[in-house]
Amino acid sequence: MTPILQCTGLCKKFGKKTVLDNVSFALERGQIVGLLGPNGSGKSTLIKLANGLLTPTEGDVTIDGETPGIITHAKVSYLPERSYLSNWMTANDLLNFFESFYDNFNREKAEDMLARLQIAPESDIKTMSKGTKEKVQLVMVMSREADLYLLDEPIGGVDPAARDYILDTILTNYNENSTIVLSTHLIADIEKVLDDVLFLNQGEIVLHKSVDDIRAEHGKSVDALFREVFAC
Amino acid sequence: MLKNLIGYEFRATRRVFLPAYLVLVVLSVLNGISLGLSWNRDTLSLPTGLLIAVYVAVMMAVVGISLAYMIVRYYRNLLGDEGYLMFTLPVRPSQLLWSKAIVSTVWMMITTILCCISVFLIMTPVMIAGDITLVQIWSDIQWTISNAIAHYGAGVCLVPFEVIIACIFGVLAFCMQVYAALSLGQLANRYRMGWSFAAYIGFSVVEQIIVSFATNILGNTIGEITYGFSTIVQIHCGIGLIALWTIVEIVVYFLISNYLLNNKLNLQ
Repeated sequence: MTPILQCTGLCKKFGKKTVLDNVSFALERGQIVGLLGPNGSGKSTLIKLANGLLTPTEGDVTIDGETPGIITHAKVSYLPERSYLSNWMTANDLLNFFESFYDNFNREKAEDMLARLQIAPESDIKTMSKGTKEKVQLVMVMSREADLYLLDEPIGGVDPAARDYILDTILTNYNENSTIVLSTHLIADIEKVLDDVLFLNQGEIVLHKSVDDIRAEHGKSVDALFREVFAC
Repeated sequence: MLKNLIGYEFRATRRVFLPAYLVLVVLSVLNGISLGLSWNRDTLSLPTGLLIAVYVAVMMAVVGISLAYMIVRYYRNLLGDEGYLMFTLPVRPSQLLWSKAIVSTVWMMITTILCCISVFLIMTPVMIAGDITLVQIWSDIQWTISNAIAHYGAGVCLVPFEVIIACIFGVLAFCMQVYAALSLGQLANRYRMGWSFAAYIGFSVVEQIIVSFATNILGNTIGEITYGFSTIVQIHCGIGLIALWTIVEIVVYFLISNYLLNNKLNLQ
């Protein structure tokens, strides 16, 4: 079966600075994968390349065998590290927007999640707090029935109580044929939901293993191994 | 999908344009009334003078908003943070490009038409005060048209429409030139607006060089070809050539932006 996400010899340079260096891996369907690494390790760049927001300097990235483009955009649900919401919109405008562009957007699910978060459909995006905007964005992203979810720092800017809600939302809103890639450096919070981990350090993949293998081979948690590998 | 994109672009921009247009219309009416009441006076009263100053400022602001919004929408909605959403929609970059260009062109055309209407709104009370009726103006227009037809033939009636079409192409070409410059500027890792401005200047210089060469090389040939033609045919040919040039500009700048957004997108 074609991997849902595959990178082959992927390199990305910004000027003289190498951000990703010869990254190669393949992810199968039905997994929750942690893309883990310290700040500046190239996690966001890798996710942006998979979304076609950046172009590789060398190598390839494919989604279900296709290079990022109009076909893959319909299959991938992307949560960026910052807000991409337009301030002129209300939550309801955003629901309409997603519904009109994505065939796989489940409006009922989104409305239900917004109601549980006590976000009124008529609330203006511009008056929302940073945390609320992040939640709204996550609701939109997880309400799509996508093949691949690329979530860049979904718990980075929210309080611990909201983190639990977000992780719960992620876990309860994807089907078993989908793959979720979660990028973060807050490992302890997400370790319990992960199947596989990818450690990224200074633009290189230094580890790609299942969480069970890590525990069996290293006799420690992913968080403990991360601290060991990335010790300053 | 292009229809959807255009719909959302109008919704995103109308909240700025519609109130600005409303202010311009209200000020035009107020100025018209104020100037109509001041008719036959030697000097303008202070409130009338102030109203004129505010009107001119608002008209300049409306024109400025049309230009600024064309740049801001493209830069912010496609090349800024909002671009993370727009470029991950299942639409082609060319559709994003056309939606922005079409909506900006429409707003600029509406702004132009509204400025003309606004002048008419100001002039109407003045004309009434000066005993000039709309019937008189209409008969003057009719006289001018029939005179023009008598001199140049019925083809002269097409000239205003040709000019309007050439203007629409011209505005679209301007939008595409600005978008190509911004698309080129986004390749830089720093000072993107600066690089975009430099790219715009660069495009303009190249255009000037091409136009100068074309005028020198083709000018005499076109002159020889059209030598025996009537004046009106020469006018048609002139407008046609300008429209053709703007179409070439639209195509070239579209291809540049489309290539860059498809193959060199750099949303860091």
